[in-house]
Amino acid sequence: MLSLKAARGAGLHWGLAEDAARSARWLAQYPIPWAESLLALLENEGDAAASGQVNGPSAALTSPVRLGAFISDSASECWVGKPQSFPTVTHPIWALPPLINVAHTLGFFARARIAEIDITIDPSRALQATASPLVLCAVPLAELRVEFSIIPIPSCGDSFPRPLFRAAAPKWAWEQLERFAFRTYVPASMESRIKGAGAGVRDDD
Amino acid sequence: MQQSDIELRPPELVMRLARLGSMHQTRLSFLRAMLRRAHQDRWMISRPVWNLDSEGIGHAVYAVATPEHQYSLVAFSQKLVPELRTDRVIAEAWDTSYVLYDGVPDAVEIERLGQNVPKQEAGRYTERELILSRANKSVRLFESVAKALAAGHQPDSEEIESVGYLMRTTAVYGNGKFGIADRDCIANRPELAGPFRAEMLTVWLIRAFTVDLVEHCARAMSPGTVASLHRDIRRRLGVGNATGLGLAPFLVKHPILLHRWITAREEALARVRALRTTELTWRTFLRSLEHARRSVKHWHTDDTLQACRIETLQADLHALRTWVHQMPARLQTWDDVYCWSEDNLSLEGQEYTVSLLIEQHGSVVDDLCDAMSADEGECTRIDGTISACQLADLIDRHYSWVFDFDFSKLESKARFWYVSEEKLEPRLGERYTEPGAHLEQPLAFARDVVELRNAIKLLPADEQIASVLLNHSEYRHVVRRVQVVARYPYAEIRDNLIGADLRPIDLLRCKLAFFGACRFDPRSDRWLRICLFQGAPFPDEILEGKGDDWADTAA
Repeated sequence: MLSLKAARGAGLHWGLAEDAARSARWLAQYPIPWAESLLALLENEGDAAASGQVNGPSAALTSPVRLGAFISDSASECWVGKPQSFPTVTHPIWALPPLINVAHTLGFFARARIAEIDITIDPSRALQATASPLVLCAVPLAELRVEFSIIPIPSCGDSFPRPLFRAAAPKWAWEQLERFAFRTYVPASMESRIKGAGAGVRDDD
Repeated sequence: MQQSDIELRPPELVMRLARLGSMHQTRLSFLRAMLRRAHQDRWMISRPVWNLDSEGIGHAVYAVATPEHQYSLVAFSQKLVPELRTDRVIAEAWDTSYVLYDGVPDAVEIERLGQNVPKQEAGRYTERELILSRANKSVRLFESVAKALAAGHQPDSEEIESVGYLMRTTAVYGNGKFGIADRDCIANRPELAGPFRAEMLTVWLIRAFTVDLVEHCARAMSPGTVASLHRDIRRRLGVGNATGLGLAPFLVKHPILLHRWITAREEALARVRALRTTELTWRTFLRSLEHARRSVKHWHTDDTLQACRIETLQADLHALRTWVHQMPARLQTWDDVYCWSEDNLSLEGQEYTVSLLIEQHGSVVDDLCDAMSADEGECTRIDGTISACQLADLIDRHYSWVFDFDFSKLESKARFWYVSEEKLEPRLGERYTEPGAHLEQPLAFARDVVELRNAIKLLPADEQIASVLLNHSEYRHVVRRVQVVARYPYAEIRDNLIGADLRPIDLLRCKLAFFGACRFDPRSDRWLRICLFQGAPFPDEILEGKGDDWADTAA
């Protein structure tokens, strides 16, 4: 929920903020600095919003959230066997969750390459990579290559570790995300304080 | 799932807010399903710790042993000055606070929980904590029950019936809030499968604690003369709850879950309607109807509109009774009863009849409880390969109702949903008089679909939606929504949720009916009090009888 609000507070429209939040939830399952990475991503989005580059292909090609959304929306059997390349993707690990969702939803196998790291994904959402999630998360900018297949792709590298149930984030990063989220809240007014969210202020049973 | 020969009532009938806000509990409601599970699996409930002083301050532990896991309600009772007692979610102190713990806590854990649970949101928690809750006394009833018992008497049953609870919960948190366990931790446990199962277990045990506490306080007042609550009177005590706008966005934000809940209820109704009556089931229905008529007489509220509805419901049930007594059972199907209600009764009456019809057919419908969960993540992917023309077609087929609203009129968008900075709670603002509309939450799908449909008109018919969204990410959330609703027809509330005439409590009541709440008591158009578990067995009774023959609609 904090990721959703933070993404919206950073300037992403609600639909993209939802996508970013889902990706954050996926990344937070692993012992990686997902919150710090999300902050860096949201700072970029904020800069893009300030310079008016919030829509269109150029925005998508550098924003992993927008790119992931575009790949997810566009993926179909027409893409099978046709590798796609996106040259300069910032924080490219954030494009992986949409790829996993595509593989699961459409029953595809997927191969991705980020920098020199190979990743394979199958329809059950299982993921193997030639580097750890920590190394992947540390890639700030790289080419992303994606290819879908309807037949199994030989897996590469090691399986991602078992997901955690509880996400961890440094206090400072959490507070920064809360500052972004704060931008989505409406300050109190006299009228809003009186109306509130309902419920009584006294026991009158 | 069995197929019935009667079609489900269509979304255009069922998904109107006025009807959703007229729904009543059924045997598919979550607390009913939880109690049936407890009965069938023979859950053993004990109270290994009772550590309260003569003023009722201290803590207690209720342990629940299911076939595969153990859980504990750890209850803390503290002193609260009356001026601090409030139902508002922004309160910072309560009469009692609770945690549902995964396992049975030892002394060290109880000490840790004692340092944190009374602080509620401000405490720190681990994944052993599954549910967090708090409750305040109904001061008038709690004191009068304690005094009566202390004097050796039973409390006034009329007063018990009219209030219905010794304590009101003001929040019941689960699913990872404030650092407690994420729902995924327990989702695969069979005893906690089903929506809000852990929450229902928590509230059921809180109910037991409230009764034990009042008896404890009575004993402290006068150990020589104290009486225990008679079983019949004890049954009439549930747990109250004050529900405000915090709950309102839930149904909008969980469309697939809403679809599953409504589909299960409608499928249950369709299966029952397809059955012929028998002498036995007809007589049972007549008894249920009599029981229901007596129960509704005890439903009180100061809210003028709801009071009128209750009066109408009483008249409806009387009319239903008159009609069924004129009909011989052998000439009827349950569909005849439903159709008569649809032609002759108010919305409250129609939906109450639905509850009555479903009630006695557990063997036909109870399996539907297994179909009421949902993974909202399953439908997040947008199919952007469709064209603008195809999207327009989806909107015209599944959202034609939005064009009944004229969003050029001020009253059609008079409100906006937002989250307050001060207390981080959902609120409903007046767009033209309050600040903050630019920070509106995305809950106005009727308006947003109209805007999307108008935007599509300007596009080439064959333009791919993926490319539209690349250039217009502001439509992303509503395109996703349209595609979800095309697959899940009961996913959308077919009303304008930002109109001047919106009654948010209709949203609250629908969800609360699925919880199993009764005695809806609106206190304004945006909050209401309800009662949970009134009439239900207590833990020491759960293995008796059939386990699920106690509800207002039961015979």
